[in-house]
Amino acid sequence: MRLLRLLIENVSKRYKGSDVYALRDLTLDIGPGILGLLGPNGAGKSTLMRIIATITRPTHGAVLWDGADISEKPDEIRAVLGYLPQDFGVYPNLNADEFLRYMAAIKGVAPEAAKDRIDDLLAFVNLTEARKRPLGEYSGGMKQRIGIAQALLNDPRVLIVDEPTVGLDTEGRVRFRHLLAELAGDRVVILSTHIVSDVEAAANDIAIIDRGRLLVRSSPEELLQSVEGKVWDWVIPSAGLTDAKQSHLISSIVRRGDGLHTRVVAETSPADEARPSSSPTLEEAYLYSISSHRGAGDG
Amino acid sequence: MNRLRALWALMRAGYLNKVRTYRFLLVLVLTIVAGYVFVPAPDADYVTLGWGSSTTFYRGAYDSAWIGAMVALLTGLFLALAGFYVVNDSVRRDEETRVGQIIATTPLSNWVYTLGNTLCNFMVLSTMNAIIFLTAIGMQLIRGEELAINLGVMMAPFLGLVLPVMFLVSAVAVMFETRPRLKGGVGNVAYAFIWMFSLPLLSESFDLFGIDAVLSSMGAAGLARYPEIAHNSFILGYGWGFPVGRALATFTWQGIQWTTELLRTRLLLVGAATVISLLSSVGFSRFDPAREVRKGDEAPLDILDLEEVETRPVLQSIQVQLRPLGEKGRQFRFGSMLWAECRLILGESRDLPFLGMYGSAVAGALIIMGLFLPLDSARGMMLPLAWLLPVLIWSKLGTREARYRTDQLVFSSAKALQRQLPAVWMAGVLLALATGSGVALNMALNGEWPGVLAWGVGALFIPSLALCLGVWTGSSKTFEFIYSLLWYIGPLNQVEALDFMGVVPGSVKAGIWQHYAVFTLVLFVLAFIGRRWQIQRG
Repeated sequence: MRLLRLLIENVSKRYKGSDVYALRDLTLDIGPGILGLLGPNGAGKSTLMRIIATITRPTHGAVLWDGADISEKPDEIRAVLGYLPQDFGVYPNLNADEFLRYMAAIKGVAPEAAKDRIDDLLAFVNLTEARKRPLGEYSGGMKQRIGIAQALLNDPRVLIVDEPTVGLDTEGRVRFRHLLAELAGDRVVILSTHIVSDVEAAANDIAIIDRGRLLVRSSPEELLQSVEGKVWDWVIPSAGLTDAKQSHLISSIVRRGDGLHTRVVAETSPADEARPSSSPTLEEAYLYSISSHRGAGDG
Repeated sequence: MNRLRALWALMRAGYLNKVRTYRFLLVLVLTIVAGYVFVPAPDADYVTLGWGSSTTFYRGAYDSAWIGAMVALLTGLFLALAGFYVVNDSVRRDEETRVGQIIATTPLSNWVYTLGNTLCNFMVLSTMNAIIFLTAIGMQLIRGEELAINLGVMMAPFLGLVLPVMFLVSAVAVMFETRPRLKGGVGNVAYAFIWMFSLPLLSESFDLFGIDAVLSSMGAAGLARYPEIAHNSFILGYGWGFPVGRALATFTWQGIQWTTELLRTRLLLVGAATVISLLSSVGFSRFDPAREVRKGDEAPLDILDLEEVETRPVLQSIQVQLRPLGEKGRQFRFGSMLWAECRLILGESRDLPFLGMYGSAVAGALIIMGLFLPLDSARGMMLPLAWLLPVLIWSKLGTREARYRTDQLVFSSAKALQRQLPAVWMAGVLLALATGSGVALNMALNGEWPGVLAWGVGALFIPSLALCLGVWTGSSKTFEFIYSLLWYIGPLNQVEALDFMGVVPGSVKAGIWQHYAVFTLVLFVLAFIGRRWQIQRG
């Protein structure tokens, strides 16, 4: 099978009637595997997802799938796309089976093939027993799982999942990460989230965006290396927490008998008694990346 | 003081939210057009208020008193119906945006909430009223029969006659929204029929719009000047077909006499509206879905059962391998798409009042009666009834994706425009063909082939109208409102020009169905353009 690439070339998106850019001159070359798209709320992740999913058109730039501009030829990518939006609805009076059959018909999945596929997917998202319940009776987590199932109905070559684990319990989240890892193979999978642990577990490639711009594109290992020597273990008294928070980027706090054990992300040691941490996390690397770029930008 | 502040905040937020929409702008434009139409030119082929015969039309001179009262009366009648559909989404908006869940957790009492929404609705309708008033001033100047503007005299009927009715409509809209059985499509259709059927009955006992008081005063002034008026028929509304070149006779009318009786009826309306608004708070579910479940529906979510399903140790119990789909599995079939759409609309109808199982039984009975009754009865009664029953299903065509927020899922699928939209339309057509099949067979058996042709056009026209209005307005109530009116005036009241079903005697022969065939095509093309815009707008 030919390995296809998704090229995002200098994409900007400005919303009508405003000077606010959701995305600015963003370029990404995405190949098979899982790209974890990280960024704070409002960074432009969902806008980028919607552009790739052909819901939104970029103001400038282009997205190319297999060489075709998807704004000009949206059906090129739609035929092979699985999309789980951040915010979506379901038809409340249909049950899971009926809804997935409906979506399968829309996605052009042959009826005989759809039946087996729906059985597999319902088992996979653990909704086999609830498949005859109206979706209006589903909890938020169950609806999210139906969303995941519909995204996989057509066995997509490009899978875009926007905040997929929101509303899932711990088991559901772990299960979904396993699924993504299994699915990756020769597919292009884009996982957009603000939950760093999801990316840590599943992605082999990371892009961090903030305020509509691409800040970092690297592997998880490279990102971790970038923060080495910049995370500090620092024990402070409880009374000193407010001051410490104001002057430093604190990634975690644990209360112990001898005071608050904090982890500080900083270029230099926050205090004489602080010690360099031997095991920085991806979350700390992400925080460092955001804060250092914001600092540079603001400065 | 806190309650007053809350009331003001509710009104303000609701008002701003409503007037900052394209829909409101559209309604404003229509309102201005209505204000223009309400004051016909002397040589126009229609009239709106006066006494007429084929040779002479009698009316007051276009001065501030006459134009103010005439436009106010017509505005009252027009907005009592159309205004309801403009404002009856206050509670629904809070429900759909989930803001209601937040409101429910605040100390805001139910009566403040319903009264606040009533006042918000009233502000919106008052704004429209004010725009029509300004249009009326413009119309007096445009028609130019009398250029002196008397603001007080012109404004009085708007303030005294129309606003109390608008307050009542505002309160009724909130009441409909807070009753589970009346909110949504059922309420939309029911209100149109209440307006159409009850107004003539009500006007005999209660002068709701102040029409009797105004007209008797106008009549007296007219009779004093032209005694022959007594032999002419009176017209209030849209009277068309007046021969161009007829004689026009005008007289001066001094304006409304604000009698104690008239003021008393106006105050009664305001009181009734306040009571309705406060009563709406009684039994209001306060956005609690558990209280929305109706008698006879399935039991609400069994929380314990769901928890059981959700908390099972899923990781250990199931190891699923997703089988690849393969190229054979990726074959679009229009039949499957159509079948899925049919299942979707029928699945939705389970929860709709008058539909579901009982609705199917009624539809079945109507088909059988349509087949076996004498042709005239079948065509005149059974077909209109058969094509009224599914109105709440048709009204969802084109709106479902936005309403249930599935638009991103559907519109990101390949060829959604070419595949899904025709399937949606076709599902609506099949529903019309099925429900009207008894009458069609009856006509065929009687060799009434032109009638069958007109029937076929009707079956294509209804879903086309629903789909077009649904796609462009995003709301099912536009179709519910327009279709109810069309259905009532055309097939039921035998107005030939509006007979889209081919049931009015003579309309088939007159070729009315040919016009509807063209409308059908135009509506479908418009729906197609609208959906393409939705998919591509980005």
